[in-house]
Amino acid sequence: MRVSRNELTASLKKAFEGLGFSVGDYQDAAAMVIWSEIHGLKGLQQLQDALPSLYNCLCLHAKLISNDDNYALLDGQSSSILLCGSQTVRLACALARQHGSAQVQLDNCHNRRFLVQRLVSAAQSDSALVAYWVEGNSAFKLSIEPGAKQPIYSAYASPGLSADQSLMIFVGNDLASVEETFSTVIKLGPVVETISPDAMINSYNDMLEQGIEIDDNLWNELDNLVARVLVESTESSRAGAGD
Amino acid sequence: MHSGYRSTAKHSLSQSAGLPLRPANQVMQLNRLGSFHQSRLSFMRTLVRRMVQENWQIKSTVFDLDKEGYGTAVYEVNARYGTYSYVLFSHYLDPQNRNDRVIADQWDLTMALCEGTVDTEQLEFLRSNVPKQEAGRVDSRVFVLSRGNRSGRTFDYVVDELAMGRQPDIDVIAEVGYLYRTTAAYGSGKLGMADWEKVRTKHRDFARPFAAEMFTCFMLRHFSLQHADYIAAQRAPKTAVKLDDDIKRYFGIGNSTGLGMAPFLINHPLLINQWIEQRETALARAVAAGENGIDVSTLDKFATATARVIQHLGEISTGDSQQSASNVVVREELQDLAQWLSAESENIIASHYSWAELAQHAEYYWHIETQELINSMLIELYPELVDELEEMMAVEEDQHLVPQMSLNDLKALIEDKYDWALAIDFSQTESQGSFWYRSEEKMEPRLGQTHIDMGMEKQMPLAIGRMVRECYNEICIFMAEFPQQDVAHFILQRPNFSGAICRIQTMARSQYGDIRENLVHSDVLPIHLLRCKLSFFGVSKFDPRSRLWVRNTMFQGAPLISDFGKPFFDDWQFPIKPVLSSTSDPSVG
Repeated sequence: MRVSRNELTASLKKAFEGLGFSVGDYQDAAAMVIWSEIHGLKGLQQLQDALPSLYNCLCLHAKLISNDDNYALLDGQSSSILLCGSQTVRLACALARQHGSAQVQLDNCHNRRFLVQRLVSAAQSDSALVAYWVEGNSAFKLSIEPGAKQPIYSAYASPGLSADQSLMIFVGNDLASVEETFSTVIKLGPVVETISPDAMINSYNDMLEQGIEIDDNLWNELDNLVARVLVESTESSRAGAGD
Repeated sequence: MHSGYRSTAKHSLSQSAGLPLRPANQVMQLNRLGSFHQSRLSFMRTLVRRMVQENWQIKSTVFDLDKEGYGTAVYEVNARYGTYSYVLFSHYLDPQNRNDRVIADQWDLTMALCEGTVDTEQLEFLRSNVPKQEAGRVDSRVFVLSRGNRSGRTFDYVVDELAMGRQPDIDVIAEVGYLYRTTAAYGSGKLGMADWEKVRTKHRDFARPFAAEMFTCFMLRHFSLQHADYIAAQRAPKTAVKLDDDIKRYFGIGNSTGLGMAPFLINHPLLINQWIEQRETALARAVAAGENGIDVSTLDKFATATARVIQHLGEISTGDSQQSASNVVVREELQDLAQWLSAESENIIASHYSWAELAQHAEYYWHIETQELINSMLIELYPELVDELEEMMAVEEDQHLVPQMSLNDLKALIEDKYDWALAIDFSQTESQGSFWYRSEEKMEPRLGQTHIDMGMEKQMPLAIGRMVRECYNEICIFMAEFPQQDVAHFILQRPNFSGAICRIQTMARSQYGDIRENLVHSDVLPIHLLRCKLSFFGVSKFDPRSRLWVRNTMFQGAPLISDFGKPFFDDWQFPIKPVLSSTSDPSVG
C-alpha cells in the first residue's frame, strides 16, 4: 500500500511512543526512519529488520564513558541508534563548538544507517560532519557540508576499523578540515558504491508525487504499536469529547 | 464618556519590523485567543479574494442525481495555475444516523478535492472510498477529503418553500445560517492523500495553509445551494422557484468542531506563532496608520463597520448561556462605541485621536471579546497595509536543539520566556485535574479527569507548562552538581528531556506560539483553542455546544461562484440579514 509522508510520520511517532520512547526520542526516531525511506535509503526495510530488537530495547540511551577535551567515547549499551543517535551527534556538535572540532565514538550500538537524518539536521547549524562505521566486510562513510540538505553516502571494501558495533563522528566548521582529520584516523578501502545527493533528491521527488510504498505487514505492525497508546473507549470517555 | 476613551498609556513595545506588537503575555492568554474573530488574513477571506480576483472558472461536468438528490456530482475547477476536480457523492442517510461526531460512519454528503481532471476509472475508485471517509483509502492525487450533514432545521424547509414557489423566510435562515454542515475536512496527507509539501510546491493555487480545505467547504456551500434548487425543481417543476441570489449569499456552510482541533495548536507552535505574528503585525500597522489622527473617510468606514457588527451579533442564535451573555455585553459596548463615534466624530478628527487610544480604552474598560472585535475591525480598514501578509502564513514546523548552550543560559531562558509556566503551582490537585488522550475510536482526542477516567498513563504531551516545570526542576538538580555543563551533557544524563529542551529553545526564538495556560487544569476551557484556530479559518457565529465543541458558520455572506470576475469589495465579513432587492426568478434550470 501507499501512504503519505505525513501519515507515516504520525504513525511512526505513535508506534515509537508505543515502544516506550519519550517525546523527543519518538520524534527523532520517526524523522530518522522517514528521512532514510524518502531519500532512497530503505528506511522502512531497515525498520522492519530493527523492530524485533526494539521490542526488547528497554529504551536505553548512550552512556558517557570518557570525555577529554574534543574527544568523547560513548557506550550505546546495545541499544539502537534511534535512541542514541541524537545524543551522540549533539555531543559531537557541542564539543566542536567549544574546541573548533570534535571526534565522538559510540560503541555497542545498532541500526547505525538511520543516523543520516541526524547528520543532516546538525549540518543546518553550520557544522560539517563525517560519520563512519563498519558492517561486516563493508565500511560506510557519510559526509555533509554545513547547510547541505543531502550528504554524500559511500560504501567501501576492506574496512580500516572494525570496532564492535561502533560509530565515529567527526565535526568541524568546514568539510575539508573534517575530512583531513578523518583521513588521519581512518584508512578507507576502494569505493564499492556511492549514493549521490542527486539520487536522494530524485527519490524524494518521486515520493512527493506518488506517496511511500509500505509493506502491508509492516503497516499492520505499526498499527498494533499505535494501539498501545490509545485508550479504550467507554460511555464515560465519550463525555470527554463533548457528548 | 469622551474623556474615558483617551488614555496616555502606551502599548508595550516589542520590536518587529519597527512596529510595536502586543506582548506575548497579553496575546497568548487562552481566553484572549478564544476571543479572536476572523480578519482579512483569515483563510476563507484570502481564498475568496483569490478566487474572485483571479476569476476561477468552476463548472459541473457531472450532475447525476436522482429525483431525491442522491447521486454523483463532479465540478471542474480551472484556477490560475491549474485544473482541479471536486467530486461529491450524495447518499440517503436515515436521520437517526446523522451524527456530527468524528466517530460517525455515515453522512449525507462525502467529497474529495483532486488534482487534474477525473476519468471514469478514478471516479469509480473515489466512489469506492470517499463515502467511507476514515475507513477508506485514497491516493496522492487527492488533496482533501470531507463530508457534510443536512441541517434538520433548514434543508427540508427551504426545499419545501422553493417547491411552493416562495423564497424562504430570512428569519428562519438567520437562526441556522446553512443548509449543510461539514464535520471534518481532512488534508495534509491523511488517509493516503497528497502531502502538504506536494500541494505547497506543485499547486500554487492552494499553497497557503488550509486553502484546499477551505475551498472544499466553499464548494460544499455551492453544491448545497444548487442541491436545494435542484430537488425543489424535481419535486414541483411547475411551481418551483430558484433561491434568490441575495439569500444564497446569506447561506454559509455549517461546521462542527470538537477536540480534534485542539492538539494541533499545541503541536504546531511555530505555525501558530506565524499566524498570530502576522495578525499582530496587521493590527500594529493599522494602529500605526492612525497614529497621527484619523481621517473622515476612515472614521466613517469604522462607524459603518461598528453598526454592522452590532447587527451581526444581534442576529446570532446560540443556546449557550455564556456565549449569549457575552454577545449581549459586546453589543452593548459596541453600541457605546457607535454612539460616541456618532456624537464625537468632529472632535475625534480635530483632536487627532488615535486607534492606539481606542485600543487602550477597550483594554481598560471593555470585555476581551469586544477588544478583539475592535482589533479585527481596525485591521479591516487598511487592506493596502495588511493584505500582503497573507503570503506569510506558512512556515516549516522545524524545531532545533542547541546542544552547546550552557545550562546556566538555558535556565535563565526558561525563567525569562516561560515565567508563566513556572508560576503555575502543579502541587495543587486542580492543576493536574485533566489529561488529554487519544481514544481507540478513530484516535479521537479526548479530555479525561485525573484519577477518574482511564488512560492517564497514555496521556498526550500537551501540558507544555508542566513539561517546562519538570525540565526546569531537573536542570536545577543537575546544575547543583555540574554547574558549568552544557545541554549536550545534560541530555546524556537526562535523555527524556531532549524533547522539552528542543521545544523551549526553538520557541524562545519566536514571539508567540506557546499558549500561556495550564492545559491540564481541571477548569481548562478547550473551546478557546478551537475558537482561536477557527478564527484563523475565518468562521463566524460561534455557537458553543459545550466546553468541548462548537458549531459555527463558514462562508456566510461570501460571494457566489457567479460573482467571480465581477467588481468585488471584499466586505462579506460579519454577515447580516440581506434586504431583498430583487424578485425571484421563477425559471428553474
